[in-house]
Amino acid sequence: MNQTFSGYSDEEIWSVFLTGDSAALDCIVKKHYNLLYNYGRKFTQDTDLVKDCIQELFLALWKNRAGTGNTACVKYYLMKSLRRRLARELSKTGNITPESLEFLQLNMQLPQSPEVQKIQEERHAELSARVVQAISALSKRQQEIIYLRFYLNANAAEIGLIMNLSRQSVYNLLQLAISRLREISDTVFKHDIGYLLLLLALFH
Amino acid sequence: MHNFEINSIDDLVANASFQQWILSNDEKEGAYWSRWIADNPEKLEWVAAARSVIQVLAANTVALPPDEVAAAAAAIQHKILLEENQHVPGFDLHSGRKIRINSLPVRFKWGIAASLLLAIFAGTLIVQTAKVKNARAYESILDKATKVGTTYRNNSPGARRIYLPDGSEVDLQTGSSLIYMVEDAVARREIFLTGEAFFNVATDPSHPFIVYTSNIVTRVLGTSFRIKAVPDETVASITVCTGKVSVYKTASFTSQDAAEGFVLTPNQKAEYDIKKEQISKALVESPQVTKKDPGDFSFEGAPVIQIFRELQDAYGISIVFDEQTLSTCSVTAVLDDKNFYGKLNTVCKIINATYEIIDGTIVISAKGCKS
Repeated sequence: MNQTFSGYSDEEIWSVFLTGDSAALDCIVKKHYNLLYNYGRKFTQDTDLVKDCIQELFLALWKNRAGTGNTACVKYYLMKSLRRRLARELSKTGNITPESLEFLQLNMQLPQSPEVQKIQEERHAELSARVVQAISALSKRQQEIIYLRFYLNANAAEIGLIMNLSRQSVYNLLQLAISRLREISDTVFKHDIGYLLLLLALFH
Repeated sequence: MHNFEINSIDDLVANASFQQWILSNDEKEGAYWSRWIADNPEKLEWVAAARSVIQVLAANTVALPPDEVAAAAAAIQHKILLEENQHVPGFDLHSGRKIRINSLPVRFKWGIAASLLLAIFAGTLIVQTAKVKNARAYESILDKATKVGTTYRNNSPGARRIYLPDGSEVDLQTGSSLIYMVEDAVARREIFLTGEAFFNVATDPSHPFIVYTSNIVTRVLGTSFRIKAVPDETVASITVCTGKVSVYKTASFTSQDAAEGFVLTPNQKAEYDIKKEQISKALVESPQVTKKDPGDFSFEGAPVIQIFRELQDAYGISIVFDEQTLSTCSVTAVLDDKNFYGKLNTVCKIINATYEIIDGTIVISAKGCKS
């Protein structure tokens, strides 16, 4: 990371970038590249396309910086821009419209933890399969909302910004997604006391 | 320590500390959550489900290697630079884009060819107009190299020794990468460096060895030197150990026109200020003796002129002084255990002189000595 900007918040670096400082942009690129790359891969398996879109996104940012203002959250602003760009590119080649950009099917493969015993692993895999199943039953939009809310800690307003939805629709979709999550945990509790006991041992 | 309010499973899933514990097995966070589970055993099912949810959401997340991110960021910077150069509004003679060169009548030990000096001035005039074209030229060379050249990367923690097909050795610093390409059409060995490397070049006068970085180009016949052009940093530098190298701005070197550049000799370094687009010449921090058999540095009533010349010979560093003023000065001193600057300081103190370092040359100011 560029030494000059260590200790600065994203938003502070952003305002330096707006003055035409390419080193500030460089710092923003490095800080968020991984996040954007992984977010982009949720929509397409074409990693080159994701990388191209990220590059184009930053070049466009630089070019249009005069017409760009400060932003409350750089991270989500970049994600929104990438999402829009990906939607446009994918609609050129594929059979989707820019509005129907969808999350890819969630993948089941989970990291293997060597210290966990086989039986726990099996039980854990079972639970994970149920989680995947439950999440898959949600709409792709809800899946994306869950990803943004729970994995990237975006709030309803930020999710609305990224996905171009009104705050009310985010709330509604989020509510549904959360109730589904609670159902999952209830199932675990009701049907799998044995697994919980195993977990209890694991977590202590 | 934290004190989170967990009222539902979603509070748990969205909790950054909890995520960190699940995903990176963070011990500190783990200690908190173990205690929390012990205090809230009825919420264990939330923990179990939340753990799975987080793992499912995080599945397929990859951390790109730092050098890949650095390369992507460098590509963006490079394109920005090209973009900017296409929009240079006018062309200003007084824009301070000149290379700083010494205005004093310096006698370089190796001597800079007169034509080269001329090229520096001529190059200044044409550099602005030629910039657009040049930047493209460099990009096209780099594009070609990326396709046909051999790429070496060092992702390991220490320096990595690379043996190039021409017999040259390169110590590539961590996080750095280079592309090697031999172009038969132009009879050149060409290197494209990102990061830092020390080169020990195999002598082959018929195939000049040329190292490109985005800002500076170094051209050598056979020698050893270090180049530092790390994308993040604002200064790129070249340090010479043995032999002689020529240094150019990349935009200038890749143009069709006469390239602006200058010669570096041992113990000198060139620094390129990327913001100001200025190359300046300086001395390395601790100059080493470059002469094979320098003799000892013990003097008894020796003319100071002779001492300066011996220092100049031993270290290959030009020392400029007024011969007439110093002709009456003599020095008695034992300097063998001192480094270059130690020797210089001692001699200067004795004859009541001072020195400045201007563009890699020592310039002595003195009032002379009473005879």
